[in-house]
Amino acid sequence: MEPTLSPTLIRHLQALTCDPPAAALDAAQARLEHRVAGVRPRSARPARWVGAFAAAATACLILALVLMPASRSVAFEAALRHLRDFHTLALTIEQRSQGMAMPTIHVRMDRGGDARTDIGEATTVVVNAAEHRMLTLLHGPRMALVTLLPTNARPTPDAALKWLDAIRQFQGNAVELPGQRVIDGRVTHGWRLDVQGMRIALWADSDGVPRAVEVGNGHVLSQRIHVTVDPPLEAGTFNTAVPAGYREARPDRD
Amino acid sequence: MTDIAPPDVTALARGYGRAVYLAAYRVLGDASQAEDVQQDVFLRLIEKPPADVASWPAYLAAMATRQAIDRLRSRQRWRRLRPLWKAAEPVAADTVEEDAAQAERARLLRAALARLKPRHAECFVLRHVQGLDTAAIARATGLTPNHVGVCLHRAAQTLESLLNDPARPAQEVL
Repeated sequence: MEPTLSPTLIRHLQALTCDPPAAALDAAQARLEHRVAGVRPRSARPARWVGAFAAAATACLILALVLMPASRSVAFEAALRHLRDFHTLALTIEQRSQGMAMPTIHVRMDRGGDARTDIGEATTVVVNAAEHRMLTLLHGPRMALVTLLPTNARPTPDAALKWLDAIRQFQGNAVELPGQRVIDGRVTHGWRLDVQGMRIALWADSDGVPRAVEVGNGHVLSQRIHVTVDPPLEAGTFNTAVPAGYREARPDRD
Repeated sequence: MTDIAPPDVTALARGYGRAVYLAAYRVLGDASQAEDVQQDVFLRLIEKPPADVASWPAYLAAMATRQAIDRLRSRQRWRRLRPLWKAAEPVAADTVEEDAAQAERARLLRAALARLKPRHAECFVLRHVQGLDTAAIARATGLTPNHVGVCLHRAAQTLESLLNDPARPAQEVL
């Protein structure tokens, strides 16, 4: 239990809450941003031996590329194929904006264009392409909104899924990333793709099954996506009926 | 995923630079020293990025508070070594136009904070000046919530005593 402060101490505390002049704060902020932008992490500072090390690393890289087993590039092609030809796909998308964590998004989708997106614990959006219906659930107020989609509507990628559309259309040369990661208990290798203005890292296992994707470099919005290809989906995943306990709201007419 | 990306310090500075400055300013009451703390906080993030931060606002507030209290303590020590200058020294450049009584209360509280154990002062400022709750302070400082509670209790007790009797010898609370 917290101690109760005396009126004297509270009055002294109130005296600390005065703010500096706005101009001083703005000037300090501007100097900070300028200074931080000009500083590089210590690990990136060149040392005397870096030249020799860089030359050796380049030589190793060239050797590695020459000797890279065909299976590695085959795995990359297979990973692209998986993302182009999946039957079902489950994604867990962790997003950060300017260093701040945003709600995690869970997506389940099938190749027919059906999709279920759970945004944190607040919102669920279900798109049923065959029924041309979209169900939006707001879990806090337990409200539901059903929207009919035009019959000729083509699914367009949501902002959080632009990377998937970009990967599926990718035709250039990917750069293999150094090192490996263990994801879902599988050793994976990564490739970097610069496509549609996005820098994407795709990590796939030796069978070419995509396991993770990273999008962006963290400056504005960065995403880390955990990928599961062709998972079994529960019946009713793309059901757009208003669930029990939810009040249906009518869409605005304008 | 198995690894953790380093923080984007540029974005953090843009998003939280002002909050860090204000956190330091409230402890120090001095614009130039608050700016030094602000720059130190973000440069340290570049030099030694933390591995896992649950809440950046709380983490940065704790860093700023810790550094500001360190400066407050050394400033107080330096002033004690210069007793003849102390009377003539301005309280803080930015408080000139403020109400004198308010400025005096702020000065007394800063002097008292500088005499607390640093951990106690840090918890007290995070709770009562920066407005963090006990759980957030525990996460930001690495203490247990119980330990934070003890620090808050002892800090309040000592401050009450110091503010009622400013001449109390420092060694009793150091």
